[in-house]
Amino acid sequence: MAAAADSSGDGGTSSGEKTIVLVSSDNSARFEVREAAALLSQTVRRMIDEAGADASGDGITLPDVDAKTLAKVLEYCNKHAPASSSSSAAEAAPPAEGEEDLERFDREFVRVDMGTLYSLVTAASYLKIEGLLNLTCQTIADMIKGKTPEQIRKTLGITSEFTPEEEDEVRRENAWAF
Amino acid sequence: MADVHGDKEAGLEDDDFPDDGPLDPEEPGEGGEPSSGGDEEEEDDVDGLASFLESEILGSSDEDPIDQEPRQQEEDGDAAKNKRKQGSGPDGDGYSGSGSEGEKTKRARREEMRRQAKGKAVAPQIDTGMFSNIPPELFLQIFKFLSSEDLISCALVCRFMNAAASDETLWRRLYCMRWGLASNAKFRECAWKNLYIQRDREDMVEFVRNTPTEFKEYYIQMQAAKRSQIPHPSEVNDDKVMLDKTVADQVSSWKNSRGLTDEAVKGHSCSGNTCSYTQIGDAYICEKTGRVHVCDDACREFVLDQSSGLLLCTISGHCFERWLCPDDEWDADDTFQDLQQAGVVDEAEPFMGSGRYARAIMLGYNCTDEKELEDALGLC
Repeated sequence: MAAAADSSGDGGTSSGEKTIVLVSSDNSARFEVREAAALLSQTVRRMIDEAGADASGDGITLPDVDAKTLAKVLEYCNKHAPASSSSSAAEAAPPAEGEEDLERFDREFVRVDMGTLYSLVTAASYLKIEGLLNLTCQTIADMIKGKTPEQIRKTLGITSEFTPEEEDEVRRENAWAF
Repeated sequence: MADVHGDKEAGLEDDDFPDDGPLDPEEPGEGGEPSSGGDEEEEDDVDGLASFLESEILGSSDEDPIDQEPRQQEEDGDAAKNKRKQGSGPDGDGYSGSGSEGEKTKRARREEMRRQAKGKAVAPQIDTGMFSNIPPELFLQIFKFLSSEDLISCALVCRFMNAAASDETLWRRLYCMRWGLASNAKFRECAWKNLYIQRDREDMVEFVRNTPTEFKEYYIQMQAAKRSQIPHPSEVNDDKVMLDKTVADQVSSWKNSRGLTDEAVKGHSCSGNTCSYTQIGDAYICEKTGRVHVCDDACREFVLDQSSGLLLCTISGHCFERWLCPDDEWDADDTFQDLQQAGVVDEAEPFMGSGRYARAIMLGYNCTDEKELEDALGLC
């Protein structure tokens, strides 16, 4: 791989863009991604700032994200990353793909089982990727919308620990005119 | 309509609660006992009439088969630790503990500290199912997208969700969306959830009283529909809906002067490290996108600063004490000064950036007394 002229020792793709290596929590997987994609995560951005320019040669380890989740998250980041790789312009530049295309991608992206969805939402929260966090939270919110408490329990797999008295009290507290 | 009133209970019992048996938990809003226990101080009749009409018209349709869950079945020993209700003073350790060692312990400890630091009596994490380790903040993120109706449903699911769904910031947003904010409203003293419910009830009563009979149905439906109003995605992360008129106008004109529109900017994550902000009253406006963060006692943008043990809002630089009583007036400047003098904040925070947060800290270091600090912070 040709090193980019502006990279400080990181590997570069043949197109000359700067890349960053992210490592999953169990050290089992290393992912090399475009800087623009990686910087969608505020946490990664902060880690890079802290570590300094040339410390990222080893890759940045993300202690709270396992390999499978990280792969999925990076799938999102790669799709949503801005076209420009310069970090200062990264936010202002629009993503490389079209708007509709992205929406379709997002819809498909969250059609996963609950376990994966849960991992994604916690990863997005830890990595501070706003787009992904909004997307996953919205998805879960959509699952809750319009449901009765019992249906919500079933969907999310929660058992209520209310005693009958507590249940009564809560219902009374929350009893609306409907 | 004495008849109606009299029959109300019976009628409702028949229609809405087909399953006999102990305390059906499935119905989110009872609708059946507005005067249960005689709590309603005024206008029982109108209120009762309103709710009766509503439930008749809207009909709480209950399609799914109701499984009578054996209520005696509590969760295991963990349930005993989960007995904490919302709103009961400083947090103790109702925290159930993740139990499992290894990699979970670190995260659990961090979360516990965070929870304790918040000083609010949030119930510990959901102990069952997929979401067994989800932190409370994350649930706030999810609940941001829900309407008031849904929040009420969620409150009935389990203790944890009850606490999370009663969070005041959520209700403040919903209140402001629906009714706007009067100029003299005081954020700090409001119990937003109760305010919302109360105002909704008042509105309904008024509607029932003032509308001619032939329109009642229609109006009641319209009213009820407002409860399923969900926050627009652009409103979820931008606090501008929570500004009172005077501040909102100032914010608008500031934004116009910078060529920023009200449109939400996608893909931008505001944070104290990357953005600079302009302050107008309690509102902090991101200078890049015009997104507004309202920073007051109900601020939720804080992070736990490990060294000082305080909660710091990354956007405004405000410090919140660990056990924050919502009614107390706190003085951020004092806190900061104390920190400084105690030598606790004595080295650059790891996440220094170019944002306001960083600048506030740097400025704070160099001040010799409170007055200087105040001046300095005013400049940020």
